Amino acid sequence: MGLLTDSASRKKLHNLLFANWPILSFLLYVIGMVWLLALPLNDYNDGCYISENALMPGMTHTHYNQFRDANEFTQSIRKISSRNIPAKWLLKHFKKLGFDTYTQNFTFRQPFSHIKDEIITGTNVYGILRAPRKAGTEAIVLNVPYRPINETIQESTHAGLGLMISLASYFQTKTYWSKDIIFLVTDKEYYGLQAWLESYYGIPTSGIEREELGGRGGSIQSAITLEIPSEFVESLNIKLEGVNGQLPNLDVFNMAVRICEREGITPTLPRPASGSYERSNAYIPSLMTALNMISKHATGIPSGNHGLFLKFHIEAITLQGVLSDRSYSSKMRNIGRAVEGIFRSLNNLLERFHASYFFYVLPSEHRYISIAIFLWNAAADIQYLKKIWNDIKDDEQTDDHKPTKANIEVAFYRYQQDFKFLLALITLVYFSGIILYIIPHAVWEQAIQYKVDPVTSLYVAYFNIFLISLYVPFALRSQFKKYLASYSKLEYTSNWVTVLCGSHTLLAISFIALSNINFSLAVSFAVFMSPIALFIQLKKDGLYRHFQRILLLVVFPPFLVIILIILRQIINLGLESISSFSALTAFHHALITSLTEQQLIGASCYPIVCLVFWPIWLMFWAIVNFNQVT
Amino acid sequence: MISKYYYLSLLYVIFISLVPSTLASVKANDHYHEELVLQPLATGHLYAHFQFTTYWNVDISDKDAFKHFNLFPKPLGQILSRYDVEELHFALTQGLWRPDWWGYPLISSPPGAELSAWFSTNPSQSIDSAWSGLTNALSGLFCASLNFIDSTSTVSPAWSFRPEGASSEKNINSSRLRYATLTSETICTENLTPWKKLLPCDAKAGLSALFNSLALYNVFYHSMGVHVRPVCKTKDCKDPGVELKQTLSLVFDPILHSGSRDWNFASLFSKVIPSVCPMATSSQIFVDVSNNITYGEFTLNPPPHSLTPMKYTKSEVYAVYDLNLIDFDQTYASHGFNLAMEWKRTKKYGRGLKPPLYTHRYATGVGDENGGIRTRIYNHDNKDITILYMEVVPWYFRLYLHTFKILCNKNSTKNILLNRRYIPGKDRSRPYLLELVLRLPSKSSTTITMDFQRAFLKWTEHPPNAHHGFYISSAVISAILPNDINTTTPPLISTKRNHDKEAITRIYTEALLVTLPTPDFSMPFIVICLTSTVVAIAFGSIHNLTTRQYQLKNVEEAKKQNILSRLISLVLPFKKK
Repeated sequence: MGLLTDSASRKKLHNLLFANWPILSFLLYVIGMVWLLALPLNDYNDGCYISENALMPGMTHTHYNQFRDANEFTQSIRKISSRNIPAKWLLKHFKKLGFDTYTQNFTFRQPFSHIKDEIITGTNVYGILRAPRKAGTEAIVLNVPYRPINETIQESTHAGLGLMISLASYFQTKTYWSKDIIFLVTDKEYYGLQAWLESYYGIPTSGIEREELGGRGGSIQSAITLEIPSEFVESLNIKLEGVNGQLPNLDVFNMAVRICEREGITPTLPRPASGSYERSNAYIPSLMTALNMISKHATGIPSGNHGLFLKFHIEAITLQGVLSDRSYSSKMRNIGRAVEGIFRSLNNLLERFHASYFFYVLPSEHRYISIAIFLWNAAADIQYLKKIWNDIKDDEQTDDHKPTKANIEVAFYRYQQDFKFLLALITLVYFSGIILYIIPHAVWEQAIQYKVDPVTSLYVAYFNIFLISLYVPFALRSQFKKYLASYSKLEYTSNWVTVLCGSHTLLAISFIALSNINFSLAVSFAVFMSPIALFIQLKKDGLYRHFQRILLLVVFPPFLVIILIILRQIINLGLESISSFSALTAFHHALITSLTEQQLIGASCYPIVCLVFWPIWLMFWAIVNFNQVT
Repeated sequence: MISKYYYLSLLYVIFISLVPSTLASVKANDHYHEELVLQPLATGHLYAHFQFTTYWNVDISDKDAFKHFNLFPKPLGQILSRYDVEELHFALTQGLWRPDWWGYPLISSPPGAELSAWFSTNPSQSIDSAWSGLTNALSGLFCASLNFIDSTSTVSPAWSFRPEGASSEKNINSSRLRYATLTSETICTENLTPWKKLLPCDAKAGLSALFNSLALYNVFYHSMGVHVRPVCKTKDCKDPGVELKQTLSLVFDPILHSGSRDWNFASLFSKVIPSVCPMATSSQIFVDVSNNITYGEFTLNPPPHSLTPMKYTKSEVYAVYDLNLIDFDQTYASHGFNLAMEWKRTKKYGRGLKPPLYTHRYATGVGDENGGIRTRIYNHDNKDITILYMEVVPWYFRLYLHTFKILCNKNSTKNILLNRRYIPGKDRSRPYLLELVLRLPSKSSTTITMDFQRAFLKWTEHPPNAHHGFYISSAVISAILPNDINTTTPPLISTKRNHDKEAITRIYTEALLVTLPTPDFSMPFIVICLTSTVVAIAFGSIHNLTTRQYQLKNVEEAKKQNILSRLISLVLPFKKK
């Protein structure tokens, strides 16, 4: 280990890095970006394969043929469809099959609602087909979220319900099941499922009050969510993204794709709506599909009910029927057989899913980018090492009156460091972050209490916090001038070097930690934050400082979020759809959604912005504005 | 010459006269009965319970008697005698008996394998070694992995289990009892074949001729058992005997086979009864017809030989078929005896009986750190019921007694727990055992809660299917239910010998599958190897640098030393001068 022990070679390495730091860090950033764009190329990703041999997808012959029943069921549900879940109707059908049937009521207070104490109630209905071959120690779930027609933005799921009932009566006639099959109809989107799962595992409530479950199957191994709006579907969209960037095991996806193709129903990944990106492995469609997945993945908000199963270590996907605008032939038989095939496969499972990947990006249905490849990209983007060397270099530059390279070891060696400064600043910025994190709920509650428009008051509150936070460096500067004067110039500068080092290190560490949890989120922020962080240095030059301020304001977290939203819209809908108004409504929607989801299902997008990115940004802001080298 | 012939003929006479006498004595010494109980269940299922009983008038502790066997199976008899077993209960079960659907079975057993044995009061070996020998011997006999039963899964419950036979001891000491379950055990034909071979007629004739393994495993509940107990003909027990009871319980879904509740032997088993077993003293089929009206009327074809009312309530009636009365040579010569039940009303699946006592048990908690077990026990009866609750938890689920809680929907929570016996587990040697005596208030549901911590297993302790999870076996609830409760017991031979022992109803709850923290046995190992190598290399040089003592050495002096002393100092560094 000459590198660690031999001071001569170490110095050589230092000098190499000092001399070339701007080029090196720029190079790393460029490599990262190129790498990201190169990932969808076929040479940089791999073909999908099944790792779990027990699944044996498509090895069984599927015989489901009761699609006419399914259509009849769908019709009768449409007839009785109302705002509330047709619990009686469902129970009647489950009981006819001899299932154990239960209902569960739940209530929760809608956060960020415009009505005071708005209570939302719902009912989950489920029936359990008991496995004849095992003692009910394991279970698989077929979940259909109930959506009333024309009530929600999303399409209704009545055809999915009809299919579920007919599948239930078909599955019931088979004796090969070794896992209990739970047919679960959930109400109120994620919240019903959240209540059900929390109750299933007997964990304390997270804001949704619920009834005890009357009965359970065994430990749930896997789950499939069906969202079929009508029998005239063209293909099945497979949705994967879960809460906080969790993804299902890649084997589940691979299995679903294979079985769907075998049964004659096209499986697709969600693709941008603009342009007709066909299923292909060509570069541009692959890139757009991958970017689309990254954009959804980064939000940390699940794209379907399956996302909540993932939170409970249950591998799950959502099969969403894509409506056809061309053909009017019913595909219910194919979908039914695909679901049958998937359940037969899951029934074969001997162990929980563990063999395949949990971290991946998908450029197409048959190719994947594994964590082993994309994490290097993240690492290159983040340029962790660069930052520290960068700061040492800074140190050298600012003290150019005695620049003996031999003296410069590491910034912390050079001077008697005073960490008070750094600690004070860190405390301050994180305090601001915490306030930002707490404020929306408090403000909203108070606004409702005093009958003020909550949206306006929320934005006013935000505006004030931002203003105060932005002004704090200026205010402190004048306040502390006297106190600061007691420092020698050298000490003063060295303190700022410490602060700079600290903030850069903090940024790098945050990115690295985040990229391991939610790669997409880390990359989305790093792409913008890293180059700008590069320019944050200690300069006397006034013009340069203005330049820094402008740069920082561009990545001011709310602005950055808006930029990301616009980018996402471009990816999804194309350039022409963008207007400032739609971006702002989208921002408002995103804000309220992330706040609500954070409270009810524990999505951590908002906390990450408030408690990770905002403080670091504020620190940079303080460095740029506070640092007056007298 | 004459004398020679005389002796020969004398020998012949003696031989001739001896053979029938020994045969006769053996014949009087043991006898064999076949019984089949068929019970249509409220849900539309059909419960079939085969019971093959062999009696042998010997003392189970008499080792000399266990040298000559007639009807009693020799392989089992030798094992019993070798390991000083007084009473043995062994069951292999696929599926779970659901009391809330089907009521209570004639003999209940938990999913997987269950083995319990009472050892003799004066054993020739230590009970633990006898137990380990017994498990291994039975494992070989029944092709089951009973050899996995070791001290980590064996308990001696003090309250929940009593000897079912005539015990040789007045004050029962549970130290003679060993009890273990293996929930992960799967049952298949390889277990049935050796079990079948213990029967005098194998599966060639009599009721056992119905055994068609394809049909026997395509059911909702399958449980085969072997029960050995000492019995007495009279109350004072002057004439001891051994009873071997081989049982096979099945729950069919006739609706799957025929589309309605109708069934016959051919549709259920794909077989009929070709002949009666000649070894069997009695061979009877009981069909529960007491609920004929309530479930929708049915008819039996052919009509039964007699009807037997039950002792408690007159509404419970069994239709009895006596195979010995059936003329197999003429009436059923061509196609055998095929019993059929036909329903008049065509209702398919029905609602389960909600019996007085049933349970729901589940595991709580998400993640790899903590979890819990919750058992909800329902008492739907109008009276309070006192039950014994037993829970055996493997050591790798570390139970915490301070988290033990009993909640009842009625307010009188404090009077529920009457007594508690808790034996904490020991890592890698002993499971946790919890026994409770509970008085369940009428019309109530009681929840027993206990939390555990998931232990880290050593990586060699993981089974090959490490990600499958680990089982917590069924909790056992034993209760003496009031007589008026709808528990039907057919007039089986073995129940006649119980001598006023109260019928204990046993309920086995759901077994639980819980995951433990499991390493991904592929990728992290590579990562760990890599990082460990890097750390080890860095550690070596840093450790070297920081701990080495640098000392000045006089070069001149070293030069002065001759070659020999330098060599010596090299080889023997401690010999400094």
